[in-house]
Amino acid sequence: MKVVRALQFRLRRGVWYELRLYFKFIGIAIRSRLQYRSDFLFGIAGVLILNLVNLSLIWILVARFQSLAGWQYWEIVMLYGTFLLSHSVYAVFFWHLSNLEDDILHGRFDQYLVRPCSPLLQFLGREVNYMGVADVVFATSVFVLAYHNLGLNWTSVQWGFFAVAILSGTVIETCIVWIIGALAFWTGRSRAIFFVYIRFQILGQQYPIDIFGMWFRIFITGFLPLSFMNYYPLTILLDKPNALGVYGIGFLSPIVAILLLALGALIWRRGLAGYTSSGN
Amino acid sequence: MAIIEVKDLCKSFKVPVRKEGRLAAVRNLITFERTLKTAVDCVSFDIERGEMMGYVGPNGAGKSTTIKMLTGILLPTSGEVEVDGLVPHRDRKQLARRIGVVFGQKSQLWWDVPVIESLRLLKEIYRIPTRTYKTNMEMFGELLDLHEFQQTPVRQLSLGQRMRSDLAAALLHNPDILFLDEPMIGVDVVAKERFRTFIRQLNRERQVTVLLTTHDMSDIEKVCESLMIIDHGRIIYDGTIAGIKEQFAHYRELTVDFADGVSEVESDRAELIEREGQRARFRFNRHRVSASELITELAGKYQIKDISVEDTEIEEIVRKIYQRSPSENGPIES
Repeated sequence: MKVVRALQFRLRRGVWYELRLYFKFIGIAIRSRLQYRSDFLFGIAGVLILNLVNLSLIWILVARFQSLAGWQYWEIVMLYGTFLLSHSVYAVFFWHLSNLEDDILHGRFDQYLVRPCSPLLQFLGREVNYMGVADVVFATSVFVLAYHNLGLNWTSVQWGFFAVAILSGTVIETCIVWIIGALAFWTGRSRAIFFVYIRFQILGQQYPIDIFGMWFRIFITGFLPLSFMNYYPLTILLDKPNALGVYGIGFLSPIVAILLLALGALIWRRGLAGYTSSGN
Repeated sequence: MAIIEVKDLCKSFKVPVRKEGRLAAVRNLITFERTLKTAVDCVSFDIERGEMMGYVGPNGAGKSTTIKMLTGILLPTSGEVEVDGLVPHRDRKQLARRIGVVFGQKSQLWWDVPVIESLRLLKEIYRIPTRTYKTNMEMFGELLDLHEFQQTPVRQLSLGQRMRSDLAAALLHNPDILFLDEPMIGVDVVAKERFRTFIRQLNRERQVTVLLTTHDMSDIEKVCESLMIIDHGRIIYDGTIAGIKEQFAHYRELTVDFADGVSEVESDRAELIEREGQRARFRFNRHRVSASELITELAGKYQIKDISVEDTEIEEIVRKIYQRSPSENGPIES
């Protein structure tokens, strides 16, 4: 018992130590970013324009067909807004996971390994992506607009579920990119796979997956579980039938998130153990 | 007991086979053939506590790979390493608290914030007690002139200043061992001299063990007591710096300025290798002839104005060792 308690104590102290450091790293990353002010403003403007273009594309599509697979315009906007809310948290704090291969390729990863704290948190804490801030603002306004136009009135339980879904969505997207990034431990490069992933993500972020064929629905549910970020939780909140015709899939979002997190951790540990630095 | 013990240490990498000839680029893309490239080949050595060891070798000889295995960054293919009683790759985080590392080619500091902020963060990372931190910062301020540029972001520092900051960062937590992997690339003479003095003082006052890799042999001569030479993954010399001269520098040179009027000069004991005006250079075998014998002989025959004796530069010796064909590269005991 004594041993277990000592171990628990060490673990808690370890986690606390690592987290505290992570926030210090983030602090430095923010201060670094603020040194380049014009870059910051241009970046924000860019993200806003990109999102506006995306939304108007959806509008053109829906204006033509009235609805897509039983989803009205504002429902699709909400789909997009929900995705964007999850995505924005990922975009601010974890965006650079897709650049992991650069650190590995150029041997920058070495320096994380000669310090007595977690290499992952050092890597994650190295950057914050201010462009994600624009995503947060945009996502919130889009979501509020959709909520009003749909005349919704969620109970606190529904809001609670929504919050869990958003958080799960962030974890899901982060883990997918993390796993793709960690492949660079073996291949040296993983960006090509990342670009393929982005293609799928664009499809999943703005359309109800009912419009696709069954194979693709299964793929984006079971293999690249992006539809757990927005689609499945919303079918529950908006009381719609889902594309697989099985009730309640949306409740699985947090479980999918946890599974992906475990898989990511496993792959990361394996990759790190076999890490061969690039050499000079 | 040695602070670093290395026994039969090997590291090989799998590298893709490069194809040549027609459509090489396409064939390279689809091949999965791999060959083993041995970077470090059965290396053994010991470094004692408080020793200052130089580690040299041509590019790609295996220096950095060795350091990466000693610091726990790389897992050895086979063999044993023990650093300060720890197995580096297994006890990486624990070891990190006891070693300091400077990679000359990459700064360890946060690029866009003032140096002092990086150092404050390192204080948190290594959980350095405030008193130790203050003492060290005072020392660095005095010896490295850190306070001159500690408020400047790292990206705006000169190479010399950056090197000094990196050194301070690596030493802040009072490590027992300092690994310096080509720390002085592109640094000017004055900064180099200051760096050497600092390292020597550090070693004297705190008994820090130092492993220094560099291409500049004068760094090694001025800082280190002993030297290891690695080539093609094998250690080909491991001993003192005096020892290497003893062993490889068979010849010395004597430069003589003769008085006006002396025309033809020659010696029975030395070979004349250069003659320019009244100045002549002789080369002689230090094992057969002593400098004084040679001078006596020349002074007896001719009228002499000035004289100087030079040892072969260690740079020259090492260059010769690198140039030997690989078949000769058996280990040389000192």
